[in-house]
Amino acid sequence: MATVRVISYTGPACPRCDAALPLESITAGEDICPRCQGFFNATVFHPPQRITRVLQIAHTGPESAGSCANHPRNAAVTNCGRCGLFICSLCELDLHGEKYCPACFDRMTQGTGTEQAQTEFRDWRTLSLAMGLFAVFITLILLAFPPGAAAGIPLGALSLYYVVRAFRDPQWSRDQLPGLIVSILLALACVGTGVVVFAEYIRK
Amino acid sequence: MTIPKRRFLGRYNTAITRHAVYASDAAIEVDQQENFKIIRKRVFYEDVLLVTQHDRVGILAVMFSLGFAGFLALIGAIAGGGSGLAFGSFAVVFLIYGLLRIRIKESIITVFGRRSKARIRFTMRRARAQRLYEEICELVRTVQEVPSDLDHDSSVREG
Repeated sequence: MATVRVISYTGPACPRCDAALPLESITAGEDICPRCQGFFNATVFHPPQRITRVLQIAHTGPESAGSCANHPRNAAVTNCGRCGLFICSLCELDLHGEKYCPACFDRMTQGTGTEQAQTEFRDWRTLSLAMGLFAVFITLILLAFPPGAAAGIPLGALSLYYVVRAFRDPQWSRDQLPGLIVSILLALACVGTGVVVFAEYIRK
Repeated sequence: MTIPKRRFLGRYNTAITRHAVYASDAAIEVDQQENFKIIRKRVFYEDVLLVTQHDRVGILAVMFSLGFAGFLALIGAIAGGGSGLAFGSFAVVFLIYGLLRIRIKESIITVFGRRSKARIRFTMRRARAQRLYEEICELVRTVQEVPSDLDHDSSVREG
């Protein structure tokens, strides 16, 4: 039976051999890995620890604060901007100045409500490229059967549609341009070939 | 709601994975391409622990170009004549590229955060890699030096 090995991130490591390196052992400037003896330049940082103060009902008293919906012993500091639930500072998630509870935050990131917190996107550029190549492949094969090459028209059009979606995508960036230009050229070649072959077939 | 503009920094592609790396206002974003989906990971500047830069020979690229040069040279030798010469000249191009890749090492920048890391590879532009390394370090330093509203004294308690 096949086993799946999940390699999880464990923190700073040698950039050459991936052997774990404790931060204290790394010197700023040129350093050497004790395992692979490889050289690398390093800059070490010491970010502040993220520790949250949590008010407890036992300290504040039940009159001064309501309790958190997820942690009954913690005092609520605010309520969720989406569902209105009382939440403590452990549950409080800040997004664009609005506070959300973890459940609402999860639901919003799965949809399109919070684009900045999203971690999964459709790759329109790869889709358009794949469709463009597929259209070329089908058109070339069907050139042997003249009216069939007209299949390049809808396939090319679909590739062009994906190109438009890629350009309109908020995630669009300039580095996608070469791939999209190739997609446009492939799609136009397929549509053009399809139109010419189909027109020729009708004329005959 | 507008998405803050991102700046493309570079790529880190291997035989099985493709990563595009961007810099946003708060983090270094790594877009990992999986079929027709992009999975985004973020290394926040405030979480960065270590930034490294090292040079290495791109073994795969060297082996591929030298191997392909050998293959083309072999075909050229078998074909002979004009076509053999054409194949031979293509082989020389790949041979020069392979030797250049051995001579000019690729530069790799790695940013280690608390929960994730980002890697960028520069094949030829080593000066740009050095500039970017310094730029990332400066950016992280600036963000981490800003006094935060994080509490350093209190403890975490869960009810």
